[in-house]
Amino acid sequence: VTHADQLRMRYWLTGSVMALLAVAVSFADHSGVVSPVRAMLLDVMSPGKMVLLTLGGRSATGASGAAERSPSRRDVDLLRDALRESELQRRQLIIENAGLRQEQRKHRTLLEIQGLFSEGNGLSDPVASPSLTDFSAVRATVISDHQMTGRLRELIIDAGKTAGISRSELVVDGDGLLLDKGSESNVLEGDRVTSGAVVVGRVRKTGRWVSLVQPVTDPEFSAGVQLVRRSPDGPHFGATGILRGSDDGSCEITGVPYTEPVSAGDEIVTSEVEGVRGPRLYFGRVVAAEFLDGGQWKIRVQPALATGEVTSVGIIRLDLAVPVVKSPDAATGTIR
Amino acid sequence: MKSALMAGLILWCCIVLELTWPVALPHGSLLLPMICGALFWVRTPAGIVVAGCFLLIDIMIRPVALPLNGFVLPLLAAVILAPERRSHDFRRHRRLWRLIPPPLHLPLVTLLSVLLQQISVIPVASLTQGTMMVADLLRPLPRILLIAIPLSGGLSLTIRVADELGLRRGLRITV
Repeated sequence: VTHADQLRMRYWLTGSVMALLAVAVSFADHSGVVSPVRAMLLDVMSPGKMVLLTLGGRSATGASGAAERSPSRRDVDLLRDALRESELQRRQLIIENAGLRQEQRKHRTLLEIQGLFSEGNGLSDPVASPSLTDFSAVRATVISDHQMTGRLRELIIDAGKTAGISRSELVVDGDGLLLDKGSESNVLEGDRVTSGAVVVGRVRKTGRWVSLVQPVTDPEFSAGVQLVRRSPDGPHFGATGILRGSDDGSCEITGVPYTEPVSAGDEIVTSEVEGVRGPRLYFGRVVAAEFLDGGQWKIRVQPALATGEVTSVGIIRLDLAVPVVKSPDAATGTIR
Repeated sequence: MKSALMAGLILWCCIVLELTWPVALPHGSLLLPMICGALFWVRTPAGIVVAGCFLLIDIMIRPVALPLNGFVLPLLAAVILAPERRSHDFRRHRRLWRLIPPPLHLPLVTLLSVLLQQISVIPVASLTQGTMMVADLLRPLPRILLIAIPLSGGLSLTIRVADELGLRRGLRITV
């Protein structure tokens, strides 16, 4: 046997062994024996992969991305349309979500107030007021949060012209919530505007078909209020004072003597409506209180509802529930 | 031994490259020409061992239905690289291989290995049922060949130049 033969034998032996090993590995792979080894080999490869990705990640990704993508122009347009549509859907969902959240917050506030009213002791629903005075609520929808817009003004004036109504009866100028009910629906200036039992403001001006609301946060707004404190025994009525709007979007109460107990968390309700003792309406909650030099409290109140959260309101009207007048004959019992 | 180790390092880099960018470098496009190049550069049983080991590693990392490359390439390397016996009978068997110019050996082996690679990824069930789709088989082939054949051509040229310039110590003349 020559050296060449030995060498040739080594080649063949090596080739055969490697070929048989390949077959063996393939069988082992089909039987699942290789799985741990595969994981180990991939772990061995991972440092190199990380280095490559770190060194030339961006350019290579761009190149491979271009090779991978290489879509037609139509595909690109389709993808762009799909992206735009999904973006629109996303925005719509965000808006709906915000609306629902706002509704939830409002509902929660109203439930809290409802709980306050259900505890009795003089607090009652504004709709139910059996006496000579009758408070009823006219439902109205908020058209605008700020004022009468130019386009709406034109439309109303045009409609009024055809009906022969003068401009001054139709247009209401100023800032505030604009409602879709006016003097034609017996809405009067000064009427309280509420959302449920929460006071939103007061009717500042009325037109024939619309009216403007002065919100409780308006610096010119003022109303007589009373403090209510919750306790395990039920709500306790406290001092009365004057609530005024503030420039920073909250309200202030003045006129409460420093001898009266006031604390953050106290609830604020109306003391009377248009000078008549009627249903208690809710304003908000005391968030801070400090002494003034004049020997009284300066109380800061957070309104229960922001004007932007209100979509429909009730306009509280004072009516007289006229009792049935009996005839004098019936009263005296005269027989004809 | 050093060249075998260097070949192993390069082959490891090739697998890493293919794993890192599988889209730009399809399976086998880089590794197979480099394995063939390593076989032809080292030209020893150690080279066959190194190449065979990396074929095994490739089979383990990226399993195929049939290990055709792992089975055929080492044996083919033994056929090509083993020193010839001065026998008339044996020479007759190897005449065909001799007819092909040496610079084309490496690209042809690479082409064969790429074809085997493509066949080996077809599921065995498809082969037995005769449902093998030629289009599916041929679709990735141009992209692989586009990288593999020029690379193997370049390697073949490099080996030839190294032989001519005496840069390769693996050259052995057996009488």
